[in-house]
Amino acid sequence: MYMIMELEEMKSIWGDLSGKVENQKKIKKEELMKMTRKKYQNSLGKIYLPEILGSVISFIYAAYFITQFGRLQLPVNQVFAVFNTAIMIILPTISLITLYKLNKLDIVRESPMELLQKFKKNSVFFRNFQKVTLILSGMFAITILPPLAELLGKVDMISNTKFWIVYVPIGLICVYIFGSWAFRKYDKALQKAQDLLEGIE
Amino acid sequence: MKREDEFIQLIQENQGLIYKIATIYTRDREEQEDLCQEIVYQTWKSFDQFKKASKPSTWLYRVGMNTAITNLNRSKKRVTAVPMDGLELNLMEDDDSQKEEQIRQMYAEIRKLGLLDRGIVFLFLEGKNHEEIAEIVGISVTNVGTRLSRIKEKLRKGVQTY
Repeated sequence: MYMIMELEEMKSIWGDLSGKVENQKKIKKEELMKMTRKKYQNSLGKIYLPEILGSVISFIYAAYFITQFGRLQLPVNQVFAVFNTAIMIILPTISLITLYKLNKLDIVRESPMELLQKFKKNSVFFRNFQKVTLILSGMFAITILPPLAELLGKVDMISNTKFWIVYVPIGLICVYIFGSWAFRKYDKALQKAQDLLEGIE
Repeated sequence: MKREDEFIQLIQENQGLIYKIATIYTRDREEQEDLCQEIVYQTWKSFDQFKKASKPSTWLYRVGMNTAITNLNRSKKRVTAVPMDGLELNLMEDDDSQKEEQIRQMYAEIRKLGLLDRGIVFLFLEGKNHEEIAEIVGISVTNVGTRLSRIKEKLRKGVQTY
């Protein structure tokens, strides 16, 4: 049987529902306070550990390149090192700022409309940020090896043409496969978010 | 009265409201329970602001809706809800199967709407007038009217359920 429910009809059902809900037993004080305390402890525990850990590792790598920069003799490796260091500082910083912004949304002062507008803006920014990140990650994967090899005294390895013949295509294929997979996932997630945010001008 | 007792009283008086908000913004019982607890927690966190609020009823609706919206838009990292008797309700155990089906159908139709429209329908069903809905949601009174007309149209047009 197909039915179409009118808003007014819903209102009558809602009235019945509200009556039932009001008659439910009241939550006990001890239970409520126990749950609230537990929730507080949990919220302290979920401070985006993977993101913070990833950022710390990037910053350590960046610090390593900065301190070892003087040891790089090849100009091309100096350029690569600057590029890699910048990526390892800028990308995690933007990521952490985004998380911070998400966490400091004021659910008391802001209206639902304001919150949704911010989420919409953030989702557009996040989408563009991910695109740039994926492209830069590919470039990063290719350019990190030469300066690292020089610092570790393995210049022979990167001077070998055969190494590059193997490394570059494999690297590009990996970046392409991972990038396509990640984009498909983001697209799906973004579409879902857009559906939920439907009607926000 | 102690702060804690005032908070308990507020939650006890409004646990039905919290449950209803959680139900329209979630898909299953686990999510619903988690959201109920999140709303209670957010209410506790900002309880001092509640005491200063000029319209306490508006305040709680806003906190409830905003918590639901924020939860849905955040990453899927979940903290398992603490099992708790009282906040979650099992209306599906109702004896009246026809009413039970109607409630299920109503929720299914509301969940097909966007986040803002879901909130507007919720407030409308709660008996709020256009001015009150506008104040809680943060849009103009005219916009509330327009959106409600569109929602009615959407429900008439394409929402078909068993």
